[in-house]
This record gives sequence, structure tokens and C-alpha cells, in this order.
Amino acid sequence: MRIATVIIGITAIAVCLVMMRREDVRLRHELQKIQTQHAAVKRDIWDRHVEMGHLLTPASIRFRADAMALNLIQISNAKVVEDSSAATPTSMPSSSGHNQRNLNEPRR
Amino acid sequence: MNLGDKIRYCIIFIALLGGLAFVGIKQGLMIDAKLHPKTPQQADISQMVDDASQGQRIVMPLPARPGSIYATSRQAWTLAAASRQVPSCFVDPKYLREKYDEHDIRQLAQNIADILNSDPAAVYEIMTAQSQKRFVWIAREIEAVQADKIRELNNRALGISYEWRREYPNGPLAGSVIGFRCKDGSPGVGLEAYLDDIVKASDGKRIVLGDAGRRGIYTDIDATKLPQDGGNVFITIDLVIQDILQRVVSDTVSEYKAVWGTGIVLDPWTGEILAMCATPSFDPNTYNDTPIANMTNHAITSPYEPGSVFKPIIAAAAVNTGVINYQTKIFCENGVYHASKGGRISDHGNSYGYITVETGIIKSSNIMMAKIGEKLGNKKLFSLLHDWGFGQDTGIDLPQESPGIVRKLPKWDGYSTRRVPFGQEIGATSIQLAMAFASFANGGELMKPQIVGMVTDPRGKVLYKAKPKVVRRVLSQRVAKETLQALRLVVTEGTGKKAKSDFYTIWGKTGTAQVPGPHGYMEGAYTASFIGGAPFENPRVICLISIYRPDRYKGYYGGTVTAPAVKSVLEQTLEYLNVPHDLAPKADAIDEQARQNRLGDDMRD
Repeated sequence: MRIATVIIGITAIAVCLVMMRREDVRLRHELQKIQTQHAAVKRDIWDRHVEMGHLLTPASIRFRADAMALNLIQISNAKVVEDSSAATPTSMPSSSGHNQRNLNEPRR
Repeated sequence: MNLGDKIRYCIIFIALLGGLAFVGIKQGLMIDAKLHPKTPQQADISQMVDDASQGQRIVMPLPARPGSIYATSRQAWTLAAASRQVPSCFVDPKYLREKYDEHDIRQLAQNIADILNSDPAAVYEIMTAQSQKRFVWIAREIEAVQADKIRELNNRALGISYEWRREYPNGPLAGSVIGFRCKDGSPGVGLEAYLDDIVKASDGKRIVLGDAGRRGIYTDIDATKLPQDGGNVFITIDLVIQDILQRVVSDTVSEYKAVWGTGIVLDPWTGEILAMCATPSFDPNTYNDTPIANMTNHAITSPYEPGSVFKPIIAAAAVNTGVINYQTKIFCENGVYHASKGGRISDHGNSYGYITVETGIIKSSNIMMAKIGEKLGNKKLFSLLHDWGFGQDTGIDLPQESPGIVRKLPKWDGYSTRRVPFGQEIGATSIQLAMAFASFANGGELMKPQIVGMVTDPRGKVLYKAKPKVVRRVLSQRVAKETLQALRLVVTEGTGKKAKSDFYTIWGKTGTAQVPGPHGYMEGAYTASFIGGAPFENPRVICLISIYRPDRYKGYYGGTVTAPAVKSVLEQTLEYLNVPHDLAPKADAIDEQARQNRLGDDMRD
């Protein structure tokens, strides 16, 4: 009776080990697939990041503003002479980006 | 002894026996291996077993991205340099030949050509020309969509590999400052080279056990090395101002057919470089097609005799020491001065008697500066140059900065005493001169130029943030203000009238320096410069433009060549920075604007 218990116990342990091993292999395979997908997603993010950089260059903004006939870019040619306080450009395409940097902040 | 004890002892006995057997067999095998070395055939078999084991292991790279460089544009950070991976398609011709017949290969070539929009015959030629090779590129740097379609063909002879590509979205804008990174990822020139330790990435890898078809099925987690992306660098360059400066300098160089030109725009209060250019420049995206000479950042690497732009620096330094003040009258010898052991000095055909130091600056008198040099003496003059940072690096975060040329004091003679004060016998870089003028604007402090504003790690954690750094105080606030007043008069009444703006109180100084050659000064070769700033009351920016060797028949005076260019840059830059006009517009300017508007309306009608 006892030996039967030992054999059953050992068998149970063996089955558990096999199950664990199987699960380990499955999860590692899953991990490998996720890492592959992760690399692909990162590539996609990098692509979009660079594309966005291309769209936000001054030349690109100027081109689009010209194409849309928005009189925003040639600031120096658009001197408003009636009032010096009105001399600032009427509207600047403010980038929606984070990390906003205020160039008008008071200096030392 | 009951049954349980018997079993227990039995198990222990078997375990001990097994252990002894294992040790004995292992020792026996070792002795056997020593006594009977393997035959070559056995060694081959052993090697093959090892190879097979290794063959199951696939090393898969985990790409790490080099850091990006950002610059400012319209009050937000904009990408100036970044990397991305682009797919390329390759074929294993040997495998293809072994596994597919002629018809299949032709069909495959047709499919690939359809995806890549190329000639099927050419693709077929690539796939079959080197049939013993295991790797041949079909097409490099293809689109991601094309790569996906090639994967969908599900052909084991085809593969997609990724290569890094560094891109500079702004093209030639700030090219000489940002520099470039080579195709293999190694740094080239400019900031890319200087900041390589921050920007470079360290690729990761994972070891995968593969099946017979080398498809990864099992990751060896312990052997995985995670990728380390590079840090990001945020520079102080403002791309809009850079665009303004670069176009103006480029136009000036073209108009006057000069050898090169350089320009700097900076914030005098912080030392931040807002724009820096050298023309001819280059596009870092196509650095391979660029002559090396075009990659030189002349603003920091090329010292030149500054000429008259140096006068306010020495005059201010002399006033600050108390040797003179701006109202001290100095006799200017009516145009020609024969100094004892100092050669002949003239005032470009002008004849001045007693004039104040301020007037001497406004009129740009060489003789007056020579006499200030005599009052200071060589030792003091040399010490002042050192205080103002000449003959030393400014410490800007860019590679290959030149310290300029200041000869050692024992080599100075009577000629040096009279000529250094008006910018001869000395070599200064544009950045040194611009920083010296910044001290007039900020109340007398010599600032360290800053071009790297911030460094972050890949996750955005700030590792370094630049703070304004004062090198030393070179002038008292009073002297700085008086110098600024003299420089304002240079623009309103003196040699810099072409820098006069209708909207801003621009101040500055012209310079026209002869270019030294191997046998004295070269005939007809000049460096035309103008350094100025605005507005007068609270200067926001300093701008320097130097044009090296303009065509003398088109013009070579600083007041003619560079003063209008600096005016243009300052006006556009201040408008962009929303700095209000500090001059009331003239009535005729309003009339002219109205007339042009009417003209435009008429033409549209």
C-alpha cells in the first residue's frame, strides 16, 4: 500500500514536472513572439517619429503654409507699421508638442 | 526492521550505488580519453554534434536606437536628427536552386518585381546569377509595406533584414553644427561626433533555440541581453532663426562671390547659441557627396584677423581699466601716424585731429586705437586679451574648436602695440568675437557659449540641463552701457549706417580686415564683418556675420557687405521672437507700405 502511495506520488511529481516544462516552453515561445512584435512596434514608432520630424521642419511648414495661402511665414516682410505692439505675427502655428519652450520668458 | 525501514535503506543503498557508478564511469571515460585519443573521424563526429547543437541556437538581435537630436522651432522641440530601421530584402540563391525548379523561380521573380515595382528579368538575374552563394541583396531600403508583402510570399529562400538609417529632417539646415553619422553608425563630424558617448546605443540580443527550419521556438531567457537606446540631446539652436541666418549668409556669399561666410546668432544673457552657420554648408543626409571642405564649421574652427570689429573690445577694456574714458580726447595725427618703432598707420584717407574715444569708435580710427595701445602697453594689452578669452577655447560643446591666434608676449614688439588694438596681428574665431560683444549687451559679463541645452535618457529623464555660465566679469555695467551707446552711434552716424533699421535700435561695429598671406597681406583679399545686436535698451540677440574674401570689385567693406545682412537677420529674428518694435515707424515707411499694398491690390485686380 505504502509503495503504491510512493509510486503515485512520484508519478504525480513527474507529471507536474512535465506540465511545468510544457508551460515553460509555451511561455518562452510566447515571449519570443512578443519580443518580435515588440521590435516591429518599435520600428513603427521610430518610423512615425521621424516622419513627424519631417513634417515639422521650418521648410515643410513654410511649404504647407504657402500651399494653403496662409500669410504666416514671411514675418519680416509682413511688417505692420501702424502700431508697434501689433507688429507681432498675427498667428504662429503653435506646435501641439509637449516640452513647450517659452522664448519670451524674462531673461536674467 | 519493518517494511518502511527496509524500503528507505534500499533507496539509500541504490542512490549510493548509482552515485558511485556515475563517478566511476566518468573517471573511467576521462582515463580512457587520455589513453586512447579520438581518431580524426571520431573528432569530426564530435564536432558535428557540437555544430548541430550550436545550429539550433539562433542569435536574434534586439535593436537599440541611437539617441535623437532635437532643436527648437516655434517654441517646441523639433527633430533635428534621428534614426530608424529600414527593411532590405535578400535571397539565399543556393537554397532557392536546391528547393525550387526553374518555373517556380521565374514566378517568384515576377512576384517580387511586382512588389518592388522593378523589372522581373533583373530580379531573376539577381536571384540566379550567384547560385552558390547563401546571401545576395535583392533590394535595399525598401518600404515597410513592400517588406510585409514579401513576407506574405512565405518563401524560405527570401528574407528581410533591417538596417539603420540616420535621417536629418531639416536637410542642410544647421548641417555644419549637427554634423552626420556614418552608415555604419560611427560618428562623423559636428555634434554627432562630440556627443557620441551620449547618443550611441548598445544593441541587445536574445538566444533562441530553433527548429530544423531555423524558426525560433524557445527563448533562452538567461542569455538575453536587453537593448540600451541612446540618450537624447536638446540643442539651443532655433531652426527658424537658423533658417533666417543661413539664407542671409548664403545669399551674401553668393552675391559677393566670397570663399566662405559664417554667421552666429546668440542670446547675450545666457550665452545660448540660437543659430550658427557656415557657408558653403552640406546636407548630412548626403554627406557622401559633399567635399570635406564644406563640412568645416568656420564659426569655431577658422580664426581670422578681426580688423575693426576688435576696436570696441580694446577700447572698452581700456576704459574699464581707467586709462581713458569715452570722452578722453586723443590726437589722431590728421590721418597719418608714423609711430616710433611702430610703422606707418593711416585712417583710410580720413583726417582726424583731436577726437574723443567715442568718436574714434564711431569713425573707426586706426590711429586712435594705436594710441590706446600705447597707453596700455604690451603687457596690459596681452593680459586683457586673455581676460576676454582670446587665444583660448571658449569651451563650446562642439569638436575642433580653435583657440585663435595670440602670439606669446615676448614676441610682441612696437608694431604689436599699435596693431593689436585695431584687430591685426591676432586671430580670433567668430564665436570668440560674438561672445565678447555679448558682454557689452549683458552688462559686462563674459559668458560661456552653450549649444547643448539638455540631455535626457531614452525614457526622458533629464540627465543634464545647461545653466548660464559666467566665465568672468570683463567690464563694469557702466562701461558696458557706454560701449553700447558708442556702438549705437556707429549705426546711426558712423560706418555701420547700412545696419540701421526703421523698427529696432540696432547697434554694432563694422570690420574690414586684410587677409594675411605667406608674404604679408594679400592684395585685394579682405574679411568683411559686422557684429551687432538689438534692441538697444534690453538687447535680446547678438548677430555676427563674417564674409571671407568677397570679390573686391563687388564690395568688401564690412559696412557694405555684412551690415545689411546683419540688419536683415536681426529684424527677422526679433520679429520671430515677438520683440516689439522700439522705434516709431517713419511716415514715409508707412506710405511706402501702403503704396506697396495698393500696388499688390492693383496687380491682383
